[in-house]
Amino acid sequence: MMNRTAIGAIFLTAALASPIQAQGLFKQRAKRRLAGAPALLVRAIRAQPTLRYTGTYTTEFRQGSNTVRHQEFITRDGIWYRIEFPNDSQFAGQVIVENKDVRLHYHPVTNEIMQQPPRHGEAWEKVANLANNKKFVLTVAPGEMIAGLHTEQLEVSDFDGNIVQRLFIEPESGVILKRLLFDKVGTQIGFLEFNQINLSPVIDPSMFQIRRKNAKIVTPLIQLERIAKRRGFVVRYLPPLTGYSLEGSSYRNFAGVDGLVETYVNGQDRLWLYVLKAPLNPERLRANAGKNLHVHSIDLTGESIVLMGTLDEKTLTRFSSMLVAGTSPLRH
Amino acid sequence: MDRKLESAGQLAISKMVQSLPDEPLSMAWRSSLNEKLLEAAAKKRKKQRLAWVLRPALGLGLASVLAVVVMFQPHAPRTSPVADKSLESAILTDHHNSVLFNEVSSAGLNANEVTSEANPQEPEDGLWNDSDVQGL
Repeated sequence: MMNRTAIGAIFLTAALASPIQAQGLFKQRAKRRLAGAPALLVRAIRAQPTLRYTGTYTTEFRQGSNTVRHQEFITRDGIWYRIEFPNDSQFAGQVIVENKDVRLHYHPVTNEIMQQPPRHGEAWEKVANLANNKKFVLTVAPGEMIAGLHTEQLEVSDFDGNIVQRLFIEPESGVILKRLLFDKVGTQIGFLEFNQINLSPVIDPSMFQIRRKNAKIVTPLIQLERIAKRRGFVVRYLPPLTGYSLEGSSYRNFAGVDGLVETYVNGQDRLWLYVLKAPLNPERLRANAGKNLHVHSIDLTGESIVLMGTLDEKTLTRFSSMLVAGTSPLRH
Repeated sequence: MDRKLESAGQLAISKMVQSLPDEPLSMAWRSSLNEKLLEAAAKKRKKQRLAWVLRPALGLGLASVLAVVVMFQPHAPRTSPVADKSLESAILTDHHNSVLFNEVSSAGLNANEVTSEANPQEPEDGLWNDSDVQGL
């Protein structure tokens, strides 16, 4: 049974989350990186903390031979988000609300609320990073009509002219209405496109709350513990003193090997922790990872652990020594 | 056989051979032969001395190369044979997909959240849904 303390905690967290504070932090970070960036991108970045709209967008991602495509309804007021799904969606009934401090994801089938760290800051950071990434060239080009609005296009390409991303931005508001991602041979591998948008919505603040009595709060650690138990893994995770928070976990099968994937966030970038029920070749992994992705692996009896991210290998090694492990249920 | 050897023809040839003068070896030829032998011996000794120096040096060199190879392989697999040749690439592909998925999804559902495990279809007993509300 969801107790009153839990409900109180959710409301308290929501009340404390001040959009003004978030704007300040974001502005400081973005200012350093926007010098010399196209005005269109600067407009889009600066608008992020204060954007208000309701709308519907379609998102698609190609994963091997599969294409994952679904529609989401979004209500946004600055850093406050609410995301829902159409009735014919496989995610129908789920509701996500997010503010500066927390992301709550309600699952009607299990009557649970997944509690996660917020991730909107990460999305802004990534767009802002485009401005000062020396590997890419940013070009402004005419856009197209999207969701009834005129847009301008920001092309992100490498120095050989290969397009990596296309962002379609409504120039007045700075809202990104369409985003296309391409692989190295120019094939579109993912997109997000608004089908409908209202830039002057009336938004009730209660939209950003989830009030569901008797719903169970599931933290990322509880989720990890469940998957580990179901799949026969030892529960291992990075403690918060690393500066990274566990966002979520999932089971995967890697070339016939059982694997547990944990993702960690810190508001700017991510870390991945792979737990595998087989030994692997660290040299081959490192060689195939390339220059920008760093890996550190540990071989334990019966399990291999791989930490992966953009952090330097020394830090990954230090983090791996801080791994918390336990076979019995964790106390939170 | 004895009769044949004591035949006149054979005896004549024998006398002729015995009457051939014994030519003494010239001193000059002996001297040149000695010189050539000394020269060959000196060359052989030189080669032996060179081999005496080079062989250990070559051995030391090989040992050093081996030591360098062993010492400068700190990242050599600490474990264990490889379970599956494609395991490493499978992890990297998953990571790559996850990064891209996050880029596309932004605040929406991400790679972890669209899996069937994250979206169980079995409802808990006793839960009401929207169709129950419509029936009121």
